[in-house]
Amino acid sequence: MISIALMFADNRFGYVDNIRYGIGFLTAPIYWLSDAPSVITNAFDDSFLARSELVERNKQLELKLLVAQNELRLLENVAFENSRLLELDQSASAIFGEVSPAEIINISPDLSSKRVLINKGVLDDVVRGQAVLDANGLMGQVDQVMPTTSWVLLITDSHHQTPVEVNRNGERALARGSSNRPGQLELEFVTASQDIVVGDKLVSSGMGSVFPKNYPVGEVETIVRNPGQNFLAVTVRPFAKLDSTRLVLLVKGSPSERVDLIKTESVGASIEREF
Amino acid sequence: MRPGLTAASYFSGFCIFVVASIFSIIPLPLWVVNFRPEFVPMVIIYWVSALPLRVSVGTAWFLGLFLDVLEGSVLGINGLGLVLVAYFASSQHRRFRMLKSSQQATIVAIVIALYLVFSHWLRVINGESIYDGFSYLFGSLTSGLLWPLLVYFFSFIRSFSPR
Repeated sequence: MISIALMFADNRFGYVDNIRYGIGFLTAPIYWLSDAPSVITNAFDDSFLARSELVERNKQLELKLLVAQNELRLLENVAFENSRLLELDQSASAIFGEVSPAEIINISPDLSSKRVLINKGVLDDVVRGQAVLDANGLMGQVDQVMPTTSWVLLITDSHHQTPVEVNRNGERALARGSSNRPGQLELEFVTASQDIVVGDKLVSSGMGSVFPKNYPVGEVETIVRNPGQNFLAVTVRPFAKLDSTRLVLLVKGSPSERVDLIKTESVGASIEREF
Repeated sequence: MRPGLTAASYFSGFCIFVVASIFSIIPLPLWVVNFRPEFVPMVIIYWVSALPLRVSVGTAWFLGLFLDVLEGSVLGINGLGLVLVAYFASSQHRRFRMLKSSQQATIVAIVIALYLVFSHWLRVINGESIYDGFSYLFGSLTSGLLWPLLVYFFSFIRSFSPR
């Protein structure tokens, strides 16, 4: 009976977050232990790399950084122009939110729930609802926070919906994690009259103010028209490497704080601050 | 207080539970995930049948709460499942201890299958998991196969404790 009451309390009201937080202190060492094998192998890899290899890799990374910086400048211009054209103050400051790095240290033991554990928690100012990105695209949002760790719900979870838009024409849709094709997204409620074709790039639309605007989400892979069905079946391949990346980025600030930031700051000021 | 239960036995019990819970969350390759043996309910079955006065339903509930936080699931799911396992083990522990190892393994596999069905059902109700086939039940088979090893391991540990 206590269990049932507890489940109900947790699911509906979130009364028991404090209990979870308390026990979270005890679970941290277990996460650390279960992550130890991969940490040790990584450490071995690092220490046995030859110096020449390191130099080579350093060169490559510097080149990449240069390219990335150039792209960033380009992006900055585009965002500036875009916001001027659309007279939308939001877009520019929303892309360039502050980010902090984190590492994935575990995945959900349940196959059908797509969640990962990251090594940052309340003590590192992580809050529920923070957006999580990797180098290629949107990954998910923080679902549960514990003292030094937190669970991230990935965009491919079948209970997660991401508000997206087509970057070509601004058609909006909701991307839900596919339940029968793991690792894929499905667009919901796309009518036959909407202009979405295979190969379209989808970006986050910023609606619901959980995710930053204009961050890449995925690419439309297949579109199936079923006569007799009201909506098209659209599958999307996410850009983020959801099952192979280890380093992720947390977008700083809770969603509501970010909205305040967007409202109060002018575009020019925020871009100057960031760059 | 029975002479066998010293601070050392509590400590070894704690270590065993930590190891069991590490096994329940350690990341595995995709093709083995469904075969993950459920060490925590197995350990609870063993403890309840070996020390029915020490370990019972309440202990199982608290361990389940810990496991819930560890797996990041809704609090109470594993607690409820483990309570059922512990209740079954404590009500049948006299009969259970008389059985041969292979018979015990069969019963453990069945009980863990029930545990998996029940906790999966609770997860689906709580909107945390989805129904997709019965492949998650393979875990009960591996648990049953590993049961004799677990018993051997526990009797090895207990041979150190003073009688």
